[in-house]
Amino acid sequence: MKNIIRKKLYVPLFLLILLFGCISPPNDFVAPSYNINISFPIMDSLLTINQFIKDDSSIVASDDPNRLGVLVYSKSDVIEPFFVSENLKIDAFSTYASNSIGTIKINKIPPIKTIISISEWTPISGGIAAVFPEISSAVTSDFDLINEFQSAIFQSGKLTLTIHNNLPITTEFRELKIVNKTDGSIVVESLVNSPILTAPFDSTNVTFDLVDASVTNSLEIQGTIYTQGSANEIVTLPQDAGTLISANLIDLKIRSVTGELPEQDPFIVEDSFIIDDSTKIEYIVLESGNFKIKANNYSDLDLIVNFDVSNLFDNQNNNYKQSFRLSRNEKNKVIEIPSLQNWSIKSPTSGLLTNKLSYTASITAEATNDVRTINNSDSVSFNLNFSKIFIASAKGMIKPTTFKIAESDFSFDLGDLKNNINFDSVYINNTSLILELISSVNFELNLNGIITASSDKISKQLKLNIDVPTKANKKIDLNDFGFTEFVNSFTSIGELPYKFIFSGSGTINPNYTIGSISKTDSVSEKYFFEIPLNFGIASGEFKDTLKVDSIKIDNNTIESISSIELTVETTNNIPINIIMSGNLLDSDNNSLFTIPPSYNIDNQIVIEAPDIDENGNVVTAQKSKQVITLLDEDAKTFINNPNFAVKFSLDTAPINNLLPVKFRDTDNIYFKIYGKVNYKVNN
Amino acid sequence: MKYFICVFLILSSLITAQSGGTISFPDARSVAMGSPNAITSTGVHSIVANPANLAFQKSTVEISTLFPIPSINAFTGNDFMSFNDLEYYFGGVNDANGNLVGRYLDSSEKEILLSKFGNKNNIQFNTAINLFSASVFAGKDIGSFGFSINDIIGQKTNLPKDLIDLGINGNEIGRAYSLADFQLSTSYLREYDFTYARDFSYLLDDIFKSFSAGITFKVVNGFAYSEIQKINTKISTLEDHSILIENDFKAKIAISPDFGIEWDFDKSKKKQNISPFLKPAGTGFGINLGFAAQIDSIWGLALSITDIGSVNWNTDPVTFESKGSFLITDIIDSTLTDSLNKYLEPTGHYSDGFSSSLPTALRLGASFRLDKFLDKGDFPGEMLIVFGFNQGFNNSLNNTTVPLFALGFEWKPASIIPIRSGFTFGGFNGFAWSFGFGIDTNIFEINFASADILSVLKGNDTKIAQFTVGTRWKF
Repeated sequence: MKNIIRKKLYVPLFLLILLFGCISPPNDFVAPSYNINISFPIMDSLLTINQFIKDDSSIVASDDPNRLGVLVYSKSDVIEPFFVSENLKIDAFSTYASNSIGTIKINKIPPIKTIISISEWTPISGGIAAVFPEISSAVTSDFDLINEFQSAIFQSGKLTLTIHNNLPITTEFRELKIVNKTDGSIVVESLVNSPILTAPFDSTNVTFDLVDASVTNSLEIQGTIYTQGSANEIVTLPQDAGTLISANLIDLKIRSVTGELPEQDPFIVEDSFIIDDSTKIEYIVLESGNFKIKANNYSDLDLIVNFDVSNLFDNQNNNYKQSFRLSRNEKNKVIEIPSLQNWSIKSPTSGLLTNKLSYTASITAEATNDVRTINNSDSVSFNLNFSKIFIASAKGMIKPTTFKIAESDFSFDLGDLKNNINFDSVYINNTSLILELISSVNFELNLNGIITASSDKISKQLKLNIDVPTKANKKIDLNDFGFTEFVNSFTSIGELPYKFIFSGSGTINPNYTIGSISKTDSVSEKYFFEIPLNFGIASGEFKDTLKVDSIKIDNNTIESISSIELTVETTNNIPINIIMSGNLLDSDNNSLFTIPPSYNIDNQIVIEAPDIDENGNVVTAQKSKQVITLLDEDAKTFINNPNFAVKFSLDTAPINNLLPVKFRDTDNIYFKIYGKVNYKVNN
Repeated sequence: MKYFICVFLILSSLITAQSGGTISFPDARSVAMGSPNAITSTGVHSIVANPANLAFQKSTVEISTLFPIPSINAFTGNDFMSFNDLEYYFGGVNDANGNLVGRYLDSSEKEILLSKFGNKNNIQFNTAINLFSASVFAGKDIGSFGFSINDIIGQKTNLPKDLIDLGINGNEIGRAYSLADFQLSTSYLREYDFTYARDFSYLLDDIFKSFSAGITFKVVNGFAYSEIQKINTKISTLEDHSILIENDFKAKIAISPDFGIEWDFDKSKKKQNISPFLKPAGTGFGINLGFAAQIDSIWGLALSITDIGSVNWNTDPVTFESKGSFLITDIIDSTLTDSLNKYLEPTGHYSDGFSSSLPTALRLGASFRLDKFLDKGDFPGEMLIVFGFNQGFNNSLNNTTVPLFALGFEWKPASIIPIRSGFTFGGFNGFAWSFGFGIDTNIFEINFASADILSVLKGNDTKIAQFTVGTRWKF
């Protein structure tokens, strides 16, 4: 029994060992590897043109009923406005005027007298009764001193002698002379053989003309007194018997004088001068400039000048008047108005135009307290100098004024497009460039504009001549000047103008009419540039490099990829045929292989153009499907290198025909891209 | 690695080994006979299987502790891949340089691999450890008292075949892959059992030689629980190559606060405080009822209903759910990840409490003493033949509603060395041949068992690994 039990003990022991030793799991767990196909959608999108342009406010769908929905590249902006400002100006001008004193005024000269007593030329004394004998005797007698001047030259005048014979006999004054005592020069003299007879106790007046006569203040009378006597009759001689001679200087026109002079009568200097030959104004308000009066006194007198520019008004609208003193012989006295801002020049008569500025200077010589010598030719002169004057505003007939239009440019922001796109020819329909001119100038304008358009290789100019009415808001369609043809002259030779410069010149008041203008007047310009995406393109080519934001895949997974099959299905509703081909690039942009690879049936991806009608509208969408296969290392390389050099060949439908087609915001391409990747799990 | 697996298997618990119901602690004797627990459990083992059997405890006191060997049920396994398959598919091969690399599967091998999977591919891992148990026989008139503490950890995963197919062959155009059968359940419970049993033979002395009844009250602390409550997720690759993901997912989770789990929806800081006595996330109560009868010295009968009750998880329970569908049409769409997250990623939130049922089961058993029946006196030792029927009432983590029939025996060629075996039909694993043995001294007993000795005999052809060991001291 014990043996049985002992033997039976082996059974559970064996089983115990079996229980612990029967299972042999793997020492290390290593997952198996195998190839697996994963199908996945890559893209399922309806790409509308609107999606591409939604951030670009310059491309909009037209709401013009004639082209409803057609995309329009629209750009508008303001061209730098032209302000009249400094273009309204008057060049510097000056005038010179002078005037002589003319009439010299001296104090009224009282008659000067002298008495030749009887005793000076006869042996008889006065106060007696006696027979007066015939007698002839030379006499000389000094006149009273003239106080009104020391000397003078009379251009004209009269010297009136009154000879009073206080004798009871007739006397004759023969060879009478009045001489300047200082030098004996004769002032006046009687004619030969023309004695001056004076009856007894009577007076005789004799007048001499003073012509160019130099007269001093100390005169002497010379001559011979003759008398036949009393014919032996006894005559009674008065106590003061003699001859009383009185001289009176009258009607004097003085050429020059030396002496103390009274205040002279005013004399006038006046002038009128032309501001601008061609500009006639009713008024102008000045913006800037200055004005100088330079006065010269060519006399020995102190002068008071009252200056009056009759149609010049200061900034308080007061007629410009200026009084100043010119000292004797003072030269180059300057009176300056440093700023003429807000001054104005007005026509003297409202409603009438003038281009003149007139002034009057009334000059008064002050009385002297000392001896001066003046001539009637002594003068005063005035130089009036206006600097260049800028006008704030003006009304009148402004001469045609040319101004330069500052260059303004506007560009299409083509970005990389200009470098990346090439095409044989493009015809764009109905390009539009509208200029809107807003003129606040109350004159007509004439603009000679130039639009210079440039592509990368060429530049061309389109000349415009535009008349702008007064205070106009005028829109000018530059197609009237052939703008569409101008643009197509670029595109027809494969160039794309992307920069436009507007420049030129303009003329204010070209027809020389009456109007008004202000320095703040301006001509502002806006442009409205529209290129309807209604064009035909032949053999267009767009190249670019793209970086595809791929899914993040770790390197092990990439190494596990055996092949990739990409299927591209498109439904094209955009009226353009697109052929895509390209190269996969490494990080240094070296080409790795073509996409699609050479072992694919097709070496390019074709998105066929839809059918279009004769108006360029899409009629029927076109479906395309293509499979791209990438094998082995190409598949891995494809995933590892997200950079592509892509070339798009673009032709509007129908191909090789420049029939313009219309692009609308709703045009679209439906892309359905899906892939199948075969990769080795747990590689 | 091999030793790790062996240790892992030893430490893994047995639930399916019990072939239908109950979160019982390890009873290697019953397991060896096919788990007719109602009739075969004795002493401290009957506390969880049939408390009525405690009334017939032969020793005055029984104790089972962690010393010298803890009583453990351990199970891990799957229903689709043997260890040989594991070795073939996951053992790797040496490349030309002698490096271990993954085996490359060509198309035919992939098909073979796929064919190994059924519609539901179950991976299960269970462990039950008896931390302490004791029973006292206080006399026939007073009855018996028992107490035990058991930890039960279980995890069950179902992998839908569609998911496997998707991983092996990739997505097929026009095909939908359903994840509806996906399951991932986890449970960690600790039960405190209090049992009373008494001999009631006097009530039915006309019928039975002896008759007893017993009841066990359970106090259950739940430390962790997770369950996918609903998953109706389908991945379809449509004819146009777009991928449609339809998702309807809901899972509930409860974790002891002492684990310090921080949820992404709750920014508050949690503190980890691991100890032998964790704060429960759920609590529950349960009852085991049992009856046992001995008709005569040959025949015995038993009936028990175990684990009537539930656990209420009400300490910060969390629900994760997501519902929605998303059609992937563009994988280079930069918003794809966000969209997928939005529609598909589960979002969590604290929720109202929920309950999980205990693995309630009905157990019937009958025993037949062949040696006594033959009564020849020359039968080598004792021979007990048992029959059992277990019917689970729910499909909770440790239960199945598939009925189990068991036929087993225990042969004691010498009283010290019992040899046991049995056959089971149904339950978790269908047909199984169980085997075990023990060493039974007067004061100490140790038993070993395998619920499926065929899996052991199959060696690496088996898909499961299971072992049960149990010890007890008898005084």
